[in-house]
Amino acid sequence: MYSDNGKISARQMQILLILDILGISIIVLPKYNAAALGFDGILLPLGGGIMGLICLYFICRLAPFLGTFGLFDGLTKLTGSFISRLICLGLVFKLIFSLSCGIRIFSEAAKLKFLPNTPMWIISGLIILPCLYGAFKGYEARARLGELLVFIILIPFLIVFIPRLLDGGFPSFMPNINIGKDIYFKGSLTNCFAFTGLEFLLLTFNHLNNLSGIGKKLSFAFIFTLILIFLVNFITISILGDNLTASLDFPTVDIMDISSVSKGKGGIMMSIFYLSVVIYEIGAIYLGSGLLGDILGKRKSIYMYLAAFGGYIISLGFDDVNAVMSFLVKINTVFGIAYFFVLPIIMNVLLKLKKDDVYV
Amino acid sequence: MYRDIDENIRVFENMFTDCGDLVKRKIPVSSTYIYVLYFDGMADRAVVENRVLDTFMLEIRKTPPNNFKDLTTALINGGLTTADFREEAGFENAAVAVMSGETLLIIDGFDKAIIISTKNYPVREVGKPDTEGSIEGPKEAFTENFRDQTALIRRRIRDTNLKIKQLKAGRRSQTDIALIYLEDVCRPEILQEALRRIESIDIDAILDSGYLSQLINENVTSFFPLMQLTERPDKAAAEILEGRIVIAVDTSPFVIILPAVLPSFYQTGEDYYQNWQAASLIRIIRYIASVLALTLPALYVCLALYNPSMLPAELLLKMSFAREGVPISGIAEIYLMELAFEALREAGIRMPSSIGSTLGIVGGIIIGQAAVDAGIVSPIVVIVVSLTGICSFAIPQIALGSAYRLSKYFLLTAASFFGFLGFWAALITLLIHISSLKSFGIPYLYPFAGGDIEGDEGMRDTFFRFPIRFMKKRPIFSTDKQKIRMKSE
Repeated sequence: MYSDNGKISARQMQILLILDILGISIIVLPKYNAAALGFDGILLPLGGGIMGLICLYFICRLAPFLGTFGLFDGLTKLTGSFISRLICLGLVFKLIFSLSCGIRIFSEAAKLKFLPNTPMWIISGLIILPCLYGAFKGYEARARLGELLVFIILIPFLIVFIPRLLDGGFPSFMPNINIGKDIYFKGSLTNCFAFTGLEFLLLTFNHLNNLSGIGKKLSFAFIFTLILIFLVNFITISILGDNLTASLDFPTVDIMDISSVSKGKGGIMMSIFYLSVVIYEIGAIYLGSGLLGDILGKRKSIYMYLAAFGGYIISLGFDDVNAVMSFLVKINTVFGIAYFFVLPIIMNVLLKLKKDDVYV
Repeated sequence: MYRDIDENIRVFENMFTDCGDLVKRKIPVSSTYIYVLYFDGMADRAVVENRVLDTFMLEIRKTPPNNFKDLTTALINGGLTTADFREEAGFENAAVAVMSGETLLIIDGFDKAIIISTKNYPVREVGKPDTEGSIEGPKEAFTENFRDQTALIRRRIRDTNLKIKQLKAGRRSQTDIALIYLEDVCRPEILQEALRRIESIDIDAILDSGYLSQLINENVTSFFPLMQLTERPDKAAAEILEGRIVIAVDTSPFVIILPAVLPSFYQTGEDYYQNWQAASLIRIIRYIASVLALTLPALYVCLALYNPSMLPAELLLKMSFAREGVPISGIAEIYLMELAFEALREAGIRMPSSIGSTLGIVGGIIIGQAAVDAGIVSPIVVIVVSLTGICSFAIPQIALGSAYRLSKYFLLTAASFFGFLGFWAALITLLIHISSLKSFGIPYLYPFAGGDIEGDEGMRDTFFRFPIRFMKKRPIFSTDKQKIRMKSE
């Protein structure tokens, strides 16, 4: 049949990358950046973006290899079965932790804005159930959903959030441009690791129907996302100021409610946030369970329930949104260094050394 | 069959015991016998008696049939004045033919029967379409007559590549089914899949194309239509030209079009008969209407009952005043009105058209106004429900309208329990579901999603209907070799 192959196109992969990165980043980063560098936090996404592009370069160099073998089998060829299982298991944990943080952060925001009296477990359940359903529908359906949602997300984003640029200037815009190199480096690194869609790339090249020029296409998508994140970060910190941005739980959502242009439109920001988070969570459940299946030797639907339920339970364990965010920064740093930088570089090196053996 | 005519007669008489409408007669002709069998009302008696039996018996007396080498030669030389006849050796097939309105003729000494096409059962005349009316364009609609259906299409596409593959389905109904397609344009894998699904049907009867479309549907759990139905031959012909397959079913005035994608349900034949600007405007209105038909009641619940702060203050005040004194909750109110609207709609369909319009006025205006005056419901809910209803009628295809109606209740229920979060959760579930759908391998959301094909012009016939001269390529349904439908100037 025409499209009965579970494969996605390069355009769909670009869109998924944008959505995967956007969801958590626009909520978490302004708060983190304001807390880390004050007004100068507006510059951190740029540093993070440059680092992200470096990661993307190394990941994309693996595209033909991963597109042929997939991560688990590819790693097994390069490092042997035991190390491959260990690395993949780590990635499964990373995905489930990210999933749980995403659920909890959005649940906190939804509780604050929409359902103040509803218990957290119900709100989180409402978020995870559609994601589980989406994961069951497969990666092709996720890609098509992404194509649909990108308009639903970006159009309101451009209509509602960007006009804030013209709404009364930026009363709190006071950058010092006086940043210590190591602080800027550390902050940029944290920004880079918050681009949570990058790790999906390691697992999705074998879903792609055409690998030609994929590096360029993904770089374009990444830069586009970076511009959006930079704008959100810039607008939020410049208008609210560094102290307020750092102290509010969801400054990006709140900025909509205090603007005269978009008064009362925090719900729109929440909706954008929700759709983007759902896309990410579907990917995390689908790819996490798939990888778990690879490690355990057989793909079973029970792994999807396990991944979703695991993420759900972990999400309920946090005290508040600040606890989730600090946990997210920690796991992003630990797993980010491992899976964004170290693993792609090592795999590239090993591939070069073992190229002849691998492709036999 | 047997050579002995009496043996054959015994078999057929056993088969057709207690069939009061059966006409059967063993007639001595010259030195032999013939046996004639047909159903009164199904076959054309005048044709059977005057143009078949009369001439045949006259001629055959002159030349006894056993002087001929075979039956066909006997008939041709025996004066059979019709070209449409065939030999049949099996009892079952011969019986099916008789039940389809054909006439069976057996000649003693031959082990084959002659099936003469004399079908003339009661059928409607070709009339105007009831459910797909238009101001411009043709006014013809399919009828229940199978041959009318194929003829109305053949008349529009005079191409030797237009193929009409005939099948039968239904153990008892033996319904005639035809797959109509352009051999060089239609994707062979879709054709094979359609054939496979039809051939795998094992059911006693297929009484309408609605039966068939459900039986060959790949996703029975989805309430979104994965095939289109149309009663317009011009629309069917246009779809065949795009590479799609039309399935005609005897006794049904609706033909099936497959594969179907979501935007195709927003297209009507008339869109292409008027200028592109007017057609595009109507298209956009249809899309907006469908979004409103799907989401309006749920959004009302979210905004009015859960997050009123998102509404402008003036509107919020007006809504609060309007709800003052209403004894039931906002959610119960909207469910009640939706239920009343559904009952009104159903009653309107079943009533004769003259009473139906009165019912609409009484139900919609008088009872609605009375309910508001009595303080049972607020005027804003009446507006929301009425607007939702009107918008659902703006969707050209009933099947998609029904899917949106069902989805509307899903969203409304979720919004009633969990406000905006429930609304978004239900909406995203619905979108995931639609994203996962495929019709014969074609993504249901093509060309919005899943249509990432180089040079594809599918988007030119969605929200906007581009000028026909800019729609040079066929959409995804056609083979790659036949993508170009209009040569460049």
